[in-house]
Amino acid sequence: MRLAIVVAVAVLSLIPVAFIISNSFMSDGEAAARYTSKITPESSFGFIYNNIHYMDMGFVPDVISLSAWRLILAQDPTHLRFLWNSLILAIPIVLGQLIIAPLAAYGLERAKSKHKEKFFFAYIIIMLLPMQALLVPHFIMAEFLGISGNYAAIIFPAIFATFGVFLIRQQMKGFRKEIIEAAAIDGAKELQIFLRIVLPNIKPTLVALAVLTFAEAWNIVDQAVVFIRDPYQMPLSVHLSTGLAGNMGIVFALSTLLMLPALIIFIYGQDDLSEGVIK
Amino acid sequence: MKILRNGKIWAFVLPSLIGVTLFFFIPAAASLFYAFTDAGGRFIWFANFADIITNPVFQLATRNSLWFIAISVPLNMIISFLLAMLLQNLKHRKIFAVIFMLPLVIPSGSIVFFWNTLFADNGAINGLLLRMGAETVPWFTTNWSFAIIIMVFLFKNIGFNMVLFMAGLSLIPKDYYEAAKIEGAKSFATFRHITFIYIMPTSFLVLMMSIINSFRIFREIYLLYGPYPHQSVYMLQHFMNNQFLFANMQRLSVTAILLSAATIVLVIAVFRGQRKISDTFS
Repeated sequence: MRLAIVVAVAVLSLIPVAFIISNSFMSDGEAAARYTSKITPESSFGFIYNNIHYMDMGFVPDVISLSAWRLILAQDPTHLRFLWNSLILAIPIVLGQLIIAPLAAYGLERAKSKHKEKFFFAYIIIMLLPMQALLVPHFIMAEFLGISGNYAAIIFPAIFATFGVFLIRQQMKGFRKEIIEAAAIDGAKELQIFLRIVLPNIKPTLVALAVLTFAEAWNIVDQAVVFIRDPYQMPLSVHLSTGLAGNMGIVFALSTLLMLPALIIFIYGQDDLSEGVIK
Repeated sequence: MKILRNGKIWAFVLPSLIGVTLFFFIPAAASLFYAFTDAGGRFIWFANFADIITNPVFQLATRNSLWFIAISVPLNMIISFLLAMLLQNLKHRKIFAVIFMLPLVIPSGSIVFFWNTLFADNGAINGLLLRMGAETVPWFTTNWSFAIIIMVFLFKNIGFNMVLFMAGLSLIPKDYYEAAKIEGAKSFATFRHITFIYIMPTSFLVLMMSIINSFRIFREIYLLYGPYPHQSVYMLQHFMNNQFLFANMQRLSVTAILLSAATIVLVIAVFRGQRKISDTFS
């Protein structure tokens, strides 16, 4: 019974990934035949009716073909440009978060001011708001600074996203305070304590934050639609859903391409993902 | 000396605080200005608020968003907690954990083709229904679209939250359970006084992440159904997105302020509730 549930959940989790990856190796013709919506009027015995073609979902291509991959990687490299756009957005966001958030979390945990919890409360509110609500202040500031239309309008607010501060501070609460106090009495500077004692101890949390932030930054849709005007500047996540006009031949290869970096970082960081969030 | 030390500590927070002030606090104050003025900059008290609150489209979006959170977040927490309890001492836990967490990191843009292939009017499920002699179901253009989004949300989040609960459960010292056993505690009592109490910090985190992710599922809704979906899945984010199209700062500001106010109330309620529960049971 237990085993059946485990296997069922595992299979369900894997099916979409398997579907997308395996379908990326379909020939152009097969993908089009399987998934393009077609309504063909037919007539028989004097009646005219619409013959709807239902999608023929398959996990194993009839013929394994690299044509879709060849197209997006070699023949029409504009697609790679969108991958590049996504990287240019996601990498600074992840690096920035990894610098800003631990510092702030440590500072808030160590500060003795009564007001710190008010700031932290504000951080929690900001963290919980839906992106569209945050986009209003982001938009106002981007217009004011004249960076609207640039990647900077997306990257800077994302670097200062408050989820990381919340997550790391939550972990630090379980951290042994005596060690820090002892080091402080020994005359260690705050920065030394932070770098030598605290950072090594929250490494799993940093990895978890990196994985979660990357998954989020790699998935940017709303911010790009509001801030980016040039269609060629869009990240791959937006290009995939808007720029293909139902070209089923390459949809799956591009979906796989979009998935791969997120998967690689996830698999690299998976050991720390749960441990880093719950400790 | 003490002040100096405190000042130094705040230097750690400063970069973050500057960023949040610049991209949130200051422009949020500016949006207050928009909220209370008309397009010409004249102060009009709460007229913008009245305009939004009485707007039927806003009401529809609010209702849908509230329903979505009220259903998806508890469902997600209950199912992932039950699964975590069930699979607590699983063999090869690490490998399964990786597989379970997988859906969380698949980009929305990739996964929507899977859901679309299943549920579109000419999708695989309708094809199957027809072959079995049943009627086809217009999944995307009826109330089913709401159920589908709940399912998409659960699919994405259950695995990760289950792994988090499993990690949280494994942190509860085993001696607590043994002591309870020796004292002859019933299994429900053990659950109530040990598991339930010690899983609280984990539950709090999972709750926060569930709420965040219940908003983030908008991307799937948008990519799957487009800007004007069936009225059961028209969310506050659709409403705001369409206001962005017209750059209607008054409406955007008012909606953002109302959302923030609602979030503040929610967070205070969660904090109070958490304190109350740990006071009563421990």
